[in-house]
Amino acid sequence: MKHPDQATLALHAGGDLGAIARWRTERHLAHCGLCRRELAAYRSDREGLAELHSFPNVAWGRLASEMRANIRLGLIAGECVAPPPRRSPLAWSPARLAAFAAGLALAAATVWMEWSGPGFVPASGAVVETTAGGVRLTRGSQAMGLLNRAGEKVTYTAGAQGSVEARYVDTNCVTVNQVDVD
Amino acid sequence: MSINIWRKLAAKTAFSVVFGFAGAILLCAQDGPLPAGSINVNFPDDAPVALMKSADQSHASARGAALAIDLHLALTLRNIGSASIRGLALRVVSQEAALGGKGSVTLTSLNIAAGDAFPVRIDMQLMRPSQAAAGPLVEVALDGVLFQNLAFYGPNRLGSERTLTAAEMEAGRDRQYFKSVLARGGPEALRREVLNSLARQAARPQLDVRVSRGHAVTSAALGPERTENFAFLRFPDSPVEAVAGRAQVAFNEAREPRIQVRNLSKEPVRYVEVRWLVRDSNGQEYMAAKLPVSAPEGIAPGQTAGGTEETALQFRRNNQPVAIGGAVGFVSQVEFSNGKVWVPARVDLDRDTLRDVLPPSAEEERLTNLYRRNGLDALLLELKKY
Repeated sequence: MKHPDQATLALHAGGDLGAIARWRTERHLAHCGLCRRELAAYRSDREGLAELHSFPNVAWGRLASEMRANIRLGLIAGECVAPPPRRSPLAWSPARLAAFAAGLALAAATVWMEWSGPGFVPASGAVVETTAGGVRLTRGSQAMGLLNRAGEKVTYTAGAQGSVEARYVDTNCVTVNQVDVD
Repeated sequence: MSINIWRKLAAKTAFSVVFGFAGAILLCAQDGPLPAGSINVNFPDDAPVALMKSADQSHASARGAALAIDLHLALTLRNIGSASIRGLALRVVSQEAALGGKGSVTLTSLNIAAGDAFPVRIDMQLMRPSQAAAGPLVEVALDGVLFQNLAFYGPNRLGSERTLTAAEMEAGRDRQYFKSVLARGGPEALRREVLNSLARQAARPQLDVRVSRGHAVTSAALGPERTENFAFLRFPDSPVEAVAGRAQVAFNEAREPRIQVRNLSKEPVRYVEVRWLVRDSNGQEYMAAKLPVSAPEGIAPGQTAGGTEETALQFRRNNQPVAIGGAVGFVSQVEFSNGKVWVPARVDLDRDTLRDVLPPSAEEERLTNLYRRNGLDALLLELKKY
């Protein structure tokens, strides 16, 4: 039997699944006690969230934003290195889930505390560099990049005055993308 | 605080993360197209090219407190002048991202007859705070157009006149070279020449590079710093010679490159470009960077001029740092004050020391790519057009 993943159950607990996914999940839940218990746990935890929001002097919205950003980054990184998906629901036991969540919460809280002060911009200088997809300028938390056309062989050349260019053949002409530090 | 409270807090924190996980998935639903007016494409009224069509597939998505913007712009331009266009440069500026980040998209090796349309693609990624001032995210402007007779149109704020003219001169030089091979040895000789070029292109080692501005001090992690003096290659017909050059080198970082050149010609020179090759600890050479010497007021005949760039360059290959073991330079481009441009002769670049290290010219890359995709007949047909 293929169980819904934890994200699906969490979304279902909050009523956030689309119609088709909701129907499929409910169909599965009708026959699976294990997933019903997981769902019940999510619903119970959801009810506790209101109390969590009553903690004073905590910017929960901002913390949630940082968490979302970190989780999103984790998901993207996970896609790159993910092993074949595991089907067993036991792989996500409550203890493991709690440990994972606590780790993420700690990381997010650290980032939040680090960034909430006046020195928000982590890097001082501007950097222009080659990347897997093109040339990118980074200045603090802001970035601007020009992307190469996928699949073409690219020649990169740096300009010592502070630039990097990427050159490639595009149909019947040559495109040169250049990004300057300033 | 009692254990129960800690337990409760841990559990609640965990569940807030679980719902954050769900929220992360829901964020995908917030992705959307950019609002109207986010991209401003601006060509002067008297420009020799007109914007015919603009297809925009850009979209933005939230990344925590930042906004990630994927910008995919497909422009169709038409040559509304009377001469063939050989090159075009667009200035791409983002006022919002990277505090005025500036870039350019340049097309060379064009052959666009009067009245013909041609496509230009601009693919960008921007990351900026989600709370930002209103106004266009990206402004695209025409910086220059080069015609077949080397006449130039445009504000030239990026030095496009020189860049496009040099590319066109290299293109003419290399087309002529391939034509001479064809004339001497026939199609099979041309095929051999193209295959040799493709083999060199495939084997040429390339570095990834990171350039930063205003690096006053090298990181201690890089190890001791030393002054690396350049050795120079000299071409017989070069109007300018490089007389001195050095950089502060520590492991894979070179900073504050300094170059000095002398004008050997009888004309004032306003720009010199020196190609900089680095050698790693195994003796393998790589094309590292271009070093400019800019003198808007002109370098008089016989005079020397130079400059120091307040930049640091770090080199890597296959994600591994490349330790710099030596530096070689040669003059690769000269712009005279009258606007004429000199580029090295093919025979000088075909030396063993350079041929396997330097990238081919844009035109050589285009022509060999044409052969690779469409075969010898297509290449012969293309060479006949010039």
